[in-house]
Amino acid sequence: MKKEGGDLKKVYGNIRNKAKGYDLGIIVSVFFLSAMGMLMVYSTSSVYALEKFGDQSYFLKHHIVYLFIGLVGMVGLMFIDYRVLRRFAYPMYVAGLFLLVLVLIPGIGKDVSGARRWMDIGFITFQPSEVAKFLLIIYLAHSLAKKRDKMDTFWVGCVSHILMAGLYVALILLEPDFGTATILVVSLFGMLFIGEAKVKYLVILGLFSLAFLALAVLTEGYRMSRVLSFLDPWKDPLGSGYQSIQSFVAFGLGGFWGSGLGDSSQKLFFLPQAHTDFIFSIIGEELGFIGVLLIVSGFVFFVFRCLKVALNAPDVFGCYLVFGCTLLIGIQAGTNMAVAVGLFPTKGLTLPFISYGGTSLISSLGAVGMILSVSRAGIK
Amino acid sequence: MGKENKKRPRNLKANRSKRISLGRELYKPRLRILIAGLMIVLLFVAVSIKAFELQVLDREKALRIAMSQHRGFFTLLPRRGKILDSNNKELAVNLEAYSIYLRPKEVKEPRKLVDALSKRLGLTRDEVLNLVSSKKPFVWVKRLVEPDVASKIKEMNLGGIGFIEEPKRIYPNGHLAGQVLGFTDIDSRGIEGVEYYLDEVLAGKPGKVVVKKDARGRQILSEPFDFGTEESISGADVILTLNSQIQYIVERELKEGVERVKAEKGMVVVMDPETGEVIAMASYPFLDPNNFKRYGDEVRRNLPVWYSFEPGSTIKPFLVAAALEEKVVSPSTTFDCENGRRRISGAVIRDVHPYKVLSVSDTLRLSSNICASKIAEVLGKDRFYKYLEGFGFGQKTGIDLPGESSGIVTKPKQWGPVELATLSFGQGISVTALQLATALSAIANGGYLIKPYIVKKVIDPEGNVLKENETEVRRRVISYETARKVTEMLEAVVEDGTGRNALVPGYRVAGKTGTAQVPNPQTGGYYSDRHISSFIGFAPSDDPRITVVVVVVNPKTSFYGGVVAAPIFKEIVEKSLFYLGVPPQKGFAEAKIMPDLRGMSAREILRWAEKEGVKVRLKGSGYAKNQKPGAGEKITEGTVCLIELEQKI
Repeated sequence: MKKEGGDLKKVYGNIRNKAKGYDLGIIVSVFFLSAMGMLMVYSTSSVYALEKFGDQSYFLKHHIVYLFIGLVGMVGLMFIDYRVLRRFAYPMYVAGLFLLVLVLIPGIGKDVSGARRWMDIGFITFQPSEVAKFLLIIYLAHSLAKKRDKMDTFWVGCVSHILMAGLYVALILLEPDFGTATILVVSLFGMLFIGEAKVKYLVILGLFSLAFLALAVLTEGYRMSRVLSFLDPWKDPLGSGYQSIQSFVAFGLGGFWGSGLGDSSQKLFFLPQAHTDFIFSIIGEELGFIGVLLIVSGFVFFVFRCLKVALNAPDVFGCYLVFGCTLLIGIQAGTNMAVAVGLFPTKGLTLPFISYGGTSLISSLGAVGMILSVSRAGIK
Repeated sequence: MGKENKKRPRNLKANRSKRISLGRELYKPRLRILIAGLMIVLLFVAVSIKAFELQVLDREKALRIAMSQHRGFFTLLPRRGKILDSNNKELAVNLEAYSIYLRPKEVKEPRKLVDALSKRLGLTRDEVLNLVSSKKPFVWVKRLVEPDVASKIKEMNLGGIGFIEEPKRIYPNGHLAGQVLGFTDIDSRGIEGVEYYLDEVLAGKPGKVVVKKDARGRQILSEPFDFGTEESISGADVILTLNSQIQYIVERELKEGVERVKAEKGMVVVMDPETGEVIAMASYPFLDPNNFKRYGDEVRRNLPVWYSFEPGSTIKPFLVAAALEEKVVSPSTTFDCENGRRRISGAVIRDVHPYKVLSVSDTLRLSSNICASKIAEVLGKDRFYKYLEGFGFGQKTGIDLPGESSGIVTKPKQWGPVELATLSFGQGISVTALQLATALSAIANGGYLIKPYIVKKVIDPEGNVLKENETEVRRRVISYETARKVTEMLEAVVEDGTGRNALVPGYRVAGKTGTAQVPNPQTGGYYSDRHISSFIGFAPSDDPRITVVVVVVNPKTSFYGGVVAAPIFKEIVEKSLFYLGVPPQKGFAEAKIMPDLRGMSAREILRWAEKEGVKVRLKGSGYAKNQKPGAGEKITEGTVCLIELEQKI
């Protein structure tokens, strides 16, 4: 036993050496979350997959492929010095714009129940906004770092970035994908805050955005009904409040210890999109409150390690980049979970690393690759 | 935020340019990063708290919803009890059948399926196509399909189709006692007759399995929720007092009799006058409960219990019984019959045949309306009413069958002289065939009004007797002497009166004919062309075994009860007594079997008749074409063989 323990220590040390300064905490938390994701995607989708495709591991197989691509991307970006990215900040911004415009063109963008968020590119239904949001973060990190001296001005410090990001947000709203747009706006304000924009301006612009948000909600029927059903899901339990209620039921069924892995009743078509947007509810049902705490802790740990990397970053760009990516992933995860437990109205957001959804998984892992690249450079 | 500003160095600009130039030694917005990080963590904490509330503190509501939507009941249909006749012959049994359903979404080869189902199940292609294109997750294709048809479809291995085993109610004897038995709907609920009346007993208790189901209501193949499974309890068997052999005889004779006179409908009750057991009960047109949907409401009615009508002269025995019991007349008391025409308060009543003077006995024998009216006058309306009530008219008999009518007997206060007169020959009162049978049984059994019943026993699946009906005497209506006297008079009706067609060779038979007009509700008078012909009687009259009531509604070729109903009565009584093994009177003991005489010449027939000592009546000339009794039937000494002859064979 002792010998074994010694071996383990040795092995761990080897890994540490091989990791060559990459933040092991981030790697471990991402692997843990991805592994949980794989497990839960299989658990939540098998019945549906069997019914729809006659193969209960249909979604799992796809998920593994995406996971593999994502990991390759992550490792690739890990080895590239993140500072190189800075050189391509503008082309990448333009590329993101291009993708977001492309998806809006009928025939290229796939119309799924009135929304044009996906492009079919063969092996994967590609979701441009998932990639574009990280491209925007790279751009913002670069721009904020470059304009540090002018960050306390209103026009150059705040408005210019808001306009540049606003273009993305507007295009995403056109799809429409209200959830991603909201996440992007929140992340933008987070970055401006970190970039030391004046709080006074941020408050003013924040209020302005809120007014815009309210307008967007009021003018679009489905958003209004989502908000209303958020306020009182029981009013229309079979209509707009259905998902929320079924999600509550899932959590309730799970209780403290959960009903056991694979034993969810709610995934039997009661809760639609159980393997994507509402995977957290099934985690709550099958793994219980314990499972919920486990996942939440995973994300908190991830965020904590990432922020540490941001603080230790060798330069401001790296710091902003890591922070932006962390913010994007952290807020999306938090929002997804908050929707599941009924704190926020329903949005179409995935749970990073865990939900089934190719683009989201791949780009999140890509972002982790960038964070890891910064973490290595930050080691003294 | 203010604090943060204070902490920062005053000269921002200078510091910043310095920091940038310093390269690696950077100033970072530590505090702002920590604040932002804290915000994210706060979101996660909020999620955890809310999850704790949902999962630990406030689970109840969620569990309630979950239970209602995840529980599925799978009903286990119990075996429905059988219905048996008094000799345990099966009248209603169950057959395992298959109900075929479809899950339209799972159909893979719709064309093949449509072909197969339309061919095997006798559905049109459009019907099947509609089912296949249904948006519902589950549709019935056909309920209760015969096992061999179902197994043929099963063998074809079509996708999207499924089978559920369900018991199907079968009435193996077709229309035999159809209206009495009633029938069940497709879910085995009794909706008419005994099936309805004893549904609770027959049905048993359905069991249920509680299963987990998905949002589409399908059963999930995992262990059931722990809510318990209830076994189904089979229904109890019901044994009726009916004798299917006699019921068969009754139905055959009723059909023949009704069709012979082209009547609208007919009914018969055969009852044991001593016990009240209903031995046979038939309504024509018949109802085959296996295909009950084919028939309208009129045919579904169990006529002897439900149909009430003005009885006509069959009421007279009860009038005479009352008058004798009250000692206002004796059998030999005579009345002036006024030559067949009597005027009462402006109305005229008539006899079919005019008589001058008739005794009370002859009143029944010849069925004189005028004499009956005079007997009623002597008796008085209050006493007459008392006896009508006493014999059970105007009240339900209380038989254990659904849909019984009580008939109508108006109160004597409403009777004027004309009403009393018409009542004496059975107009202005309505009765059911079962009431007549019960009342007549009181005369047959020596004066007791008994409650008729048709359910003999109820036996649970373990063989325990749950219920056993016994003879219930409701009251004594008349004395034994009176009953005897009326019986003798009724024997005379058959021997030498209007009921001669009811004569059964070898047995003493008591009976009474009835011919009534049918009231026209529009005019308040009577239809001139509608009649109800009936015959009521019992036999053997010295030791009655059966009371028989025959009612024929709207006969076309003739309308006298003695012509229309009496022959049916005779056939039923003769065959039933033979079946029951009731010995004929002395001298009738040796029964002969009628040979097939068809094709024989008149001479040959007469030679045979002389040799055998059989009375023969020939009709026409040439060779025998029809004979009555038919070949193989029993002939006794009184039998007159009727042979129709024809010139050519």
